[in-house]
Amino acid sequence: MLELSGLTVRYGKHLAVEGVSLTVEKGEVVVVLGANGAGKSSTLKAVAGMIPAASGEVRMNGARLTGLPAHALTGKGLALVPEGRGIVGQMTVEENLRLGATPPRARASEEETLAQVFEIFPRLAERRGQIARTMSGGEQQMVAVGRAMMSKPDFLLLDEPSLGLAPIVVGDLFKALARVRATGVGLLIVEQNVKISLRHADRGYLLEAGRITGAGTAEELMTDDAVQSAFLGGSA
Amino acid sequence: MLEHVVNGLVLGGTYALVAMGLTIQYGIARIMNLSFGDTIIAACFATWLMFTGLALSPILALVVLVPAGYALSLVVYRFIMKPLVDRAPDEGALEVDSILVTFGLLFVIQGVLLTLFGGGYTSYSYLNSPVNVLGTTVAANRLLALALSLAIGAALVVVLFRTRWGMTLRAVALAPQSAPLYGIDTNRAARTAFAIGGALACTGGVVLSMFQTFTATGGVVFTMKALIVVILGGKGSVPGAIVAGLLLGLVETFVAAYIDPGLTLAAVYTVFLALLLVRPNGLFGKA
Repeated sequence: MLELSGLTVRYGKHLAVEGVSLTVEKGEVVVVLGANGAGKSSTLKAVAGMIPAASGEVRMNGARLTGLPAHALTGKGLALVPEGRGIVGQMTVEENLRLGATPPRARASEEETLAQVFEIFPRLAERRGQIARTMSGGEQQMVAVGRAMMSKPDFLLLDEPSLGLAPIVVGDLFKALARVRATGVGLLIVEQNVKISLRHADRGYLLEAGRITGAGTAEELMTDDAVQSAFLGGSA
Repeated sequence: MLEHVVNGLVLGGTYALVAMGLTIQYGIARIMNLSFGDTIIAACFATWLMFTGLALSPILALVVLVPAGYALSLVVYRFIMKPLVDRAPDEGALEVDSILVTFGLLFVIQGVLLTLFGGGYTSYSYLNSPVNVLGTTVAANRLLALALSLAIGAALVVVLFRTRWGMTLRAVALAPQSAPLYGIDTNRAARTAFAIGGALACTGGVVLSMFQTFTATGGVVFTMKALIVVILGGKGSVPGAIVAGLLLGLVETFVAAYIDPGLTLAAVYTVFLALLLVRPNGLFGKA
C-alpha cells in the first residue's frame, strides 16, 4: 500500500499542499481531481522526491520514504511520469525503455518487462529505433509510461497524462493504463480530465487549494454534486 | 597535399583527445574546468620525469598516470567541486562558480609546476624516427599519438553509446532533470564524469609530451583550444569533440601551409564563428 499522511508542501511562504492524506492499494487506480493550481503536481513531486515535503510522511508497503532522493525512490519501486513526460528526447525509444530498467530490482527481468511494454504499446515496438522527440505527443506519453514500467514499480504516479492529447489518444492511453494495473501495479493519477479518469478509476479524491475536500468511489464521484459543479460545469 | 592531411590529422587527433575530457566534464558534471590545460601540462611533466628519471616509456606512464588522474580528480571533486554543487541553486550558478574556482586552481597547479620545474621549455626524445606514410615522412611518435587518440576516442564512443553505463552518463548530459526518474543517481554520474575527464586530461598530457615541447605556463593554450573544440562539437558530445578536433587540426595545418603560418589562430576563430552562426549549438549539439 502507498500511504500519504498529512503531506504538506511549501514554496517559501506559499502553502501549496496542506495535510494531504490518501491511500492506494496494489492493483488499484486512484485519481486525484483538481483544477489548475490545486496542488496536484506538487503532491506527486513531493511523493516522488522531486521536491521536499515540509511535513507529513509517505509510506510504501510500510516503509517510510519521506526524505529519500528521487533516484532512490525509483529504485524502491515508486515511479513517476511527470508533467511534460520526462523522457530523454534525443535518445531512441528502445534506449529510453532500457534506461528505465536502471534500478537493480528491474535488471533481471528487463527483457520480460520490455516484451510486456511492447505488448501493451505495440506502437513502441514498431518505433523502437526512432528518436523519441520526433514522435507525436501520444507516442511520447507511451514512451514515458513504458519507461516507468521498465523500473518494475509497485506504484506508478502519473501527472496529468491526458494533457495536450487528442480525446481519442487519451482514451487509448487510459485503456493501456488499465492493462498496466492488471499487472498488479497501483496507479495514482492526478487529472483535470474528470470524465475519462473517473471512468477508469476505482476511487478518487478531490483536491482544492491544497486540501482534500472529498473522496469516494469512482461511481459516487461521477454523480457527486460537488464534482459536477466544480469540474463539469454543473449542468451535466 | 597528402603530407598536410597527415599532419593535420595528427594535430587534430590531439585536439580531439584533449577536448573529449573537457566536454565530458562540462556536459555531464556541468563543471567548466579552466584548469584542464594545466592538468595536461602536469601530466606532461610527470611523463618527462618518468622517462628521464626512471627510463619508463610513455606507454607505461599512461598505465600509471591515467588511474592517478582519475583518483586525483575524485579527490578534487569531493573537496572543491561538491560544495559548489550542493549550494548551487541551478545549473547556471554552478557553471559560474566552477569557472571561478577552476580559474583559481589553474594558478595553483601552474605555481606548483613552476616551482618544481621552472619556466623553461621541456621535451624528451621518444620514437623520434621518420616513418614513410603514403609518400610523406612523419615522426613515429606523432603517428603513435594519432593512433592513441583515435583508439581512445573510439573506445569512449563505444562505451558511451553501446553500454548501459555509458547510456546513463549520456542521459544525465541530455536530460539532467529527468535522469533521477529513471533511477539514475545524478550526483554519482557527475562525480564519475569529472574523474573520467581528469583521466583523459592525463592521457592527453602523456600523448602530447611524446612529440611536443611544453612549459609550466602553457596550460591556458590547451584549455582555450579544447574549449573551442568543445563548443564547435556541441557541449557534452564526444563524437562532436572528435570531429571538431580533427577539423580544427586540418584547418590549422592547411592555413599554415598554403596561406600564412601567422594566420592559423585567425583561421581557427573564423571557422569557429562561421560554424556557430549556422549551428549555434555546435555540430552535434542539442537543439
